[in-house]
Amino acid sequence: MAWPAVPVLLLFASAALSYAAGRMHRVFSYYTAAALFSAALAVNSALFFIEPVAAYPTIYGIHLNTASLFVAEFTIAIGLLSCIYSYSYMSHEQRIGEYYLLLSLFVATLALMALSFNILLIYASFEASTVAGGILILFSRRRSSVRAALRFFAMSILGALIILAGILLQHKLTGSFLLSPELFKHVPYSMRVLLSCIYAIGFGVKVGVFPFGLVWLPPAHSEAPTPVSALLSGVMVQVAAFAVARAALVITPLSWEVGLLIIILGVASTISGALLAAVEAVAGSKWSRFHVGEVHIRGIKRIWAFSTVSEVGYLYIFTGLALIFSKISTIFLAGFLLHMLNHGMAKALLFYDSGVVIKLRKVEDLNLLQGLGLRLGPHLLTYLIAGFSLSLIPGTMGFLTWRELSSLASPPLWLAALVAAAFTFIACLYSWKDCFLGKPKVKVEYLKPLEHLKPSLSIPSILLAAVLVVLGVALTIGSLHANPTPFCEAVEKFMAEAARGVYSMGG
Amino acid sequence: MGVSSIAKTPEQVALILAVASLSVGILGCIAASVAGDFIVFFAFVEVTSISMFFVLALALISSVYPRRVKPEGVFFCGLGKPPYVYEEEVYQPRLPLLGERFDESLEGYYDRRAVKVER
Repeated sequence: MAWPAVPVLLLFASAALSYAAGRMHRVFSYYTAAALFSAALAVNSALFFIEPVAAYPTIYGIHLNTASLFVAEFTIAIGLLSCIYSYSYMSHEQRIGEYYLLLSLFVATLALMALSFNILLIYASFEASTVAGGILILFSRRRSSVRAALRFFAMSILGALIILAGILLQHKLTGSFLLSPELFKHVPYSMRVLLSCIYAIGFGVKVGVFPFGLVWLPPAHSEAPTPVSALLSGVMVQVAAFAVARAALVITPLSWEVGLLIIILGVASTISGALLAAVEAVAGSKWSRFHVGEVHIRGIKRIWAFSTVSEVGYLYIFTGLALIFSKISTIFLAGFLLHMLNHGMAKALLFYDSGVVIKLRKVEDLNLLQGLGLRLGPHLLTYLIAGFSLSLIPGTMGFLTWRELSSLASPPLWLAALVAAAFTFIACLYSWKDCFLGKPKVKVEYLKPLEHLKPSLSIPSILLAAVLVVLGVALTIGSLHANPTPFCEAVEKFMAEAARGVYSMGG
Repeated sequence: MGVSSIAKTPEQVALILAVASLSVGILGCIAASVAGDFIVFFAFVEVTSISMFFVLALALISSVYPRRVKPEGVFFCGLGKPPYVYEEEVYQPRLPLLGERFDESLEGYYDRRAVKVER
């Protein structure tokens, strides 16, 4: 029985049925998509908790282990929240059937990418997610969104061609497309290093790591409709980073050359992304650049798009450390997965909250924004929670990223992380101040009364903020305590198992 | 229900083809994985891959670099009969794949229907 594919197939069913339902009435499309996303999440959770994971068969590379399930669960969960958020945010959208079709396909292909140990299937999912994600960017209906989508496609094709070269090399070396450590045992070390580097760079284009990320990521993530931005930043780039970690650790489980390359890319991303996020928040696109619009702005979503370049840098640093210090790779891979969870939730939350500001004020440019004050309601708090979590502040989940990173890493890496965290903190506080109390820099007149805050816009933010706070506080207290709490121990055990599952089918 | 009832513009036909090849490709990959047939699996990977190149080449590039109309090409020294320029010859950019007009009111990163800005 092809159990591993069931959640993905449910998402494909969501694509077809929500499109058909959308031709009858827009609300039917929403309910169909939400119901099938929920069903996919439930089945994935059931696979997680009910059966022992190792009991599931490997179907030609589609394989369920704790790490794959964890990433798929996280992908579908953020997909469901984006689906709920879209109900109000995309209420003006005439072609809602097509929108939910593409959203479902996008999430389905990302989940499939996470579940696979077959590089060819990862490649196909990578391309399919690019098509669905790229078309979703166009739903903003601006000329700049077309330019952003074009950059996204062009860079993805560049990445795909590099990966394709790697796939051909892998098949020449091993005669297989599977990412299995046994297949690479007899391959010369130099060829394994070359193959790992090809995958790290090829997927790096999609991850959005420095320097490729700066070209396409800020335009694409900021031009897309907000629920799609949350998926692009919170999920897509991280699933691609997961593919890098999986491929590199299978092919070169111990390699300082590959590890060093990946760490250098990661550090450059971490610092440049956070710096540009702060510059965007303070000075705008005139100084931060990488803008595809016809007028310079201080884009609220551009801040968090730049921040994504920074956060994926941490994922690369963890991967590089796991490659260099292979005996304790579990620690760094657990850090990788925890940071993935932290960044995914916090970034989706920041985009959702930015979307609330945009929806209420009809303005994406902070220079034109009249602060919403207390009318932002819970989002005043949730925005700060997410921003603090990305700034690695103790008491938030971000602190766990810091803890794992500092467990062995060298002072230069700590310093890079601290500098990036400081820039992210500045970006968060500066943009929060503008959303709360901002004054327009030019003369602005609001022609329509302020809309009421819709529950479907707030529910995803509140849920994510609650999870970030509960997990952050519980794990910070647990990790600082001499005797870890049972909850903390259970999380540590789970993360250790998941960390092994990043590169091992048995994990 | 034919394609013509769903797609009203060439851009929408492109969207249908892109999404169809994407869906067939990925579902085919999953089915071929379960069946364990490598040749079929590889073929479906190619089908998926084609959808990305198709979207870039046919829909997006043509949108960003549209066909321009040369005014002198339709000017006959006043001897021409109306209409001097047919509707399809007029430069009317549309959103690639969605086949709709751009939302001009959002171009400045604010909604001109709800906000008035004096720069």
